[in-house]
Amino acid sequence: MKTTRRNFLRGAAALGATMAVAPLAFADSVPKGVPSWKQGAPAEDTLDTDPSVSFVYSTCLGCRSDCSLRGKIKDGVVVKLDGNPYSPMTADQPLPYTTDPKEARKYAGKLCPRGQAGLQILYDPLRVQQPLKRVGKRGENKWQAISWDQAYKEIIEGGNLFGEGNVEGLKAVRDLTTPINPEAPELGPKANQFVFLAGRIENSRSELVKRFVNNSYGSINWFEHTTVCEQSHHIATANTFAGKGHMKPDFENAKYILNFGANYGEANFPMNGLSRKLGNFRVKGGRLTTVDPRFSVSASLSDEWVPILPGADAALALGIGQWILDNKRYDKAFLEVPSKEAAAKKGEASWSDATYLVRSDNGKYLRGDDAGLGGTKDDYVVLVGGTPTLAGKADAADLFGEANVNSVACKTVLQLYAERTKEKTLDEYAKIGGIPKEQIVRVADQFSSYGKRAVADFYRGPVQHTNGFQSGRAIAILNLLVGNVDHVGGYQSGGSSLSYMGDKNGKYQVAKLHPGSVKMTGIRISREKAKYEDSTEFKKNSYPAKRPWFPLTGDVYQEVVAGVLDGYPYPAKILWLHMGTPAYSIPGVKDKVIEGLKDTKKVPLFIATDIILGETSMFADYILPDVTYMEQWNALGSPPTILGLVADVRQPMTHVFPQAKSVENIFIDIAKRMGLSGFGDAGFGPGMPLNKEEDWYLKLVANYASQYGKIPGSTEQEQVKYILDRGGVFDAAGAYDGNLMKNKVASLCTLYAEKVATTKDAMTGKNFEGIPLYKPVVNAKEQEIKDDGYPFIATTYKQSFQTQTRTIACPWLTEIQPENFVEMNDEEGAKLGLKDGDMVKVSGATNKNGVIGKLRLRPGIRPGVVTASVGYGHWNYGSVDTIIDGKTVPGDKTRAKGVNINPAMRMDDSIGYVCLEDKIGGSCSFYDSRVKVEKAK
Amino acid sequence: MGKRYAMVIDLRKCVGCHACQVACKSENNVPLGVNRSWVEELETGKFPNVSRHRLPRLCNHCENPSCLNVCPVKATYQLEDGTVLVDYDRCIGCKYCIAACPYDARFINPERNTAEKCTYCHERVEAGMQPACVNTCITGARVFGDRNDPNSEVFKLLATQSVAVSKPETNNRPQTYYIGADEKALRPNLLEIVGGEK
Repeated sequence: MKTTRRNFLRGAAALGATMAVAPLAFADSVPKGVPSWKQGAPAEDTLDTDPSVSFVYSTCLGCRSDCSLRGKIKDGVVVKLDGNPYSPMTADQPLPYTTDPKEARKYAGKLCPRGQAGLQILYDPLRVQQPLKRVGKRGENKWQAISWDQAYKEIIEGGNLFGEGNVEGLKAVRDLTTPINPEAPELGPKANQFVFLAGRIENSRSELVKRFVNNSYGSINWFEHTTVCEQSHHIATANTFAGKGHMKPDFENAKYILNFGANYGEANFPMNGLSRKLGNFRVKGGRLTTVDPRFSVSASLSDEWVPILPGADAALALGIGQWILDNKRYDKAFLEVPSKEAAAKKGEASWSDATYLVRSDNGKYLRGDDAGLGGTKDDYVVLVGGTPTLAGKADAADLFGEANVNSVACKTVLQLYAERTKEKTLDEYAKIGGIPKEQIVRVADQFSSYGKRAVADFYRGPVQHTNGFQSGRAIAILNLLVGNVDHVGGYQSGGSSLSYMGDKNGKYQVAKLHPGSVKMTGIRISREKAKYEDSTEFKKNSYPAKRPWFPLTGDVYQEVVAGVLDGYPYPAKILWLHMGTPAYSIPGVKDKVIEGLKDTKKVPLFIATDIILGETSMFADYILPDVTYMEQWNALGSPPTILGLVADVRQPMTHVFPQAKSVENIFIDIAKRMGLSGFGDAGFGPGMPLNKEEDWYLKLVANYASQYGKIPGSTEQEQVKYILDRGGVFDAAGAYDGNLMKNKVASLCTLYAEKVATTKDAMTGKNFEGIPLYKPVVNAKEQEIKDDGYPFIATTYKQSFQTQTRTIACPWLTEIQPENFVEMNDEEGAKLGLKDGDMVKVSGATNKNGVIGKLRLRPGIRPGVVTASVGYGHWNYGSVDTIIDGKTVPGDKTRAKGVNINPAMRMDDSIGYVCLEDKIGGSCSFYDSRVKVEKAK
Repeated sequence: MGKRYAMVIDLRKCVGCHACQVACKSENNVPLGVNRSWVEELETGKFPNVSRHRLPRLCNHCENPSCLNVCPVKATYQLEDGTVLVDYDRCIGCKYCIAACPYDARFINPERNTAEKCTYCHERVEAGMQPACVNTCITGARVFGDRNDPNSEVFKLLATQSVAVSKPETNNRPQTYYIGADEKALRPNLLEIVGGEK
């Protein structure tokens, strides 16, 4: 093969001949040959400082982090990706925001391998390049290329699209008045039978699509994927820290970090900035303890590794809590403060409910109007020297105690928490966790030895369990015991951003600029954010519901799919899947999901927007080619690890395939064709069109300018250009406010989750627990899952050089590690007679056929656990041959290497169609499945 | 004293993410299957006493490079600042240098059939920028600069930190200095825990 400059471009050029449609846009600009070396200047790429190259500042999406990105462009080809030197996301010492972009050429920010390799996603020749319509049955991977006009017409109008009978299109399903089920009108109108489900959909993109789905089309069913990620972490955090769903240690100033299952240095986002802060923390002498059954990167950089059994995090956290209470190592001064005013007197911004009385009869806090103390329903009640007192009237209150108030038995929250921690002994907690009791004591001692500069952090590991919400809460509460919230070196809510939607004081309050907006009504197909007790079904059948309801969480990805396939609480008619792959991602149900999606009775019309034929989108009726993140717009904030102001912009660096279209432009086109409100020539109002994505995004960027107030330029256009020239608005300064963080929770933080304690489980009719507890693995019907005969617990993790699915298209990444492994403790493997490199079968109680992968034996896996990294084991994503217009596009088989062990995990067969799940936080259980591992035959 | 480039790699910070490796590939158009810069990893011990060692690798631009004198056509040469380079027009691909390098830092570029290795991104350095691997190193573990300049970060780290080099017994005097390296990890071509062939 002829030598070309970049190997992935070589692949692209070769494939160009076989693709049915759309000549490769970049074929003409492929540089020819490796530049020959010249004496004294072995230059192989044009330098960043060369005037012939240009830069586009944007935002990465090589993983979830949204690092600030800069693309280097030469002759129309993006030749290199770097970090943005202006942004604290990608630089420890970012350039001053006022630095001239010409000067900024000399500097580049930092970018991880996934980010660097993004070029190979952009120029992947196996991307979908034209709208595709299935030929033959769903999933046969045979397609015809069609025009956008045909695609729109068929999707909107419906008809006998596949020679299989009539299919209702978007127009027919959009009925805003007829109830889906007249006997259960609360489910809402027929328009709700259009379901939009995204895997990843970025901020500001999500608002535009919500505008279409919720407020123009009128369906309530817009979802993203969060429960397949770490939703229970967010819900647990929000139920502890006054609605803040994501907190992080102040890495710059913390002295001790107790990390429960957050994948620092590999995936926990922002992986790039967090790794940098972790390195600085370690070099400055910060102590780190990592709780993880795998010897993770974080564990390897720790002073102590706690190789806990999966699912036992709550046991460890409650054991630590017990020891801290018994040894009086808690921050008494913080915990006994009952109000904002009293907290302020002690230099605290936040305060806790530790002293508040909770009623034993109904699980609510005792309120001022219950207690006969002359208070209102907004007043909490505490004990001062044993006497009930309004919280607002005390500077300090009793931490422990109980009282009968108006013949209602009450206890303080800390009393309830202490009793909960005492339900088991440290020996019992140690046994559950599979770790020595001495280790619990040592960690508790360490954690409570650094005052407010010790932080208990967590992410996905402890929460993707059936008991995930409670485990997350048990960990989050440790921070309240040491009183670190809002403190320098403590647990903090992170930097700030600007509201791209202009909600507060932006120039364009975009959500309100929607004349003729439709009000969505009804029950979501996932039964989230709704109470079963309000349904007709409850009135008829009482408990249990057919499937769980999720009043305390949202974006319950696996239950959207299950709801569609189970037709519960109503059947769907159109499923639109965007950048998502439930069959690959959701544990335990690969075959069920595929079987269901192939069934045209269950899913009469299935549309996907994707950049490639994905593991799930390959079963769609239509695939509409989306653009990659290097070709699209977005306006985004930053995660809480990064302090200071970050208001990122994503903007197109190029547009590789002319027929690919952003999902924004697709929905704009469809809305205009259907004559829906909020889009078109007067989409935002008279004289304010929404005809293309720029009409949306330039307003969002203008909102940055109007809110920041310090952007030079006399016109909106000049200011927007100033921001785009730097990839956003950044201001690293001003993160601290004396001993406190500048951005604060500054609210009541709760050891007791009152809302949870007063909400019923639709499957049992019993209230959830307001104080966290350890619970063994259960199914939706609360039956314990034992799965005897399956001796291992299966887990997964993410490496620094793969992300969920898209990075498998990057040869620079796959050559680091072409395949992943089934990883097992070396001594345990040897006992089983297994050898490193053996092919092994991993199977479980609901998937006896299991999955097959290559074994890797290593000391850094806890015995009794097997794990496999994610991102491998693809059955499509370009790995198989595809037929387009009768011609074969050969697949790239290297993308099929390795193993995805999610399908071997456990299905909840008590309700079907889903993995085991957390009914409070909604998370999928990824780390509870018992499996066996045997040599593959 | 004249300029002398060196690299210090602080393994207390390295997370083994391979950003350096991919940045090098992207910057220098290194073909698939060969690397100028890469990361080796080794996991040792017995559960639960486990440790993990990472070793980012590159040409060490030795003071006394064993690749230099074996070249029959004088394609390999060293600049006064210590950078060891290959003249691809002179190189005949005889692989003597590859055999001579005790660090396995060299390879034949399959596109060009000449010997190749890390150049410290010479053209970038000449233009006042950092090598691509150093620039992108997400934790700042890789530090590059003039070992003889008291104001350089490299000078300061060498002056204040305990460092080690790989295979000092070769007398190659390699100029990659590791902070916090484990003796076991300083031997190149270890069994890799992550990726690659054994």
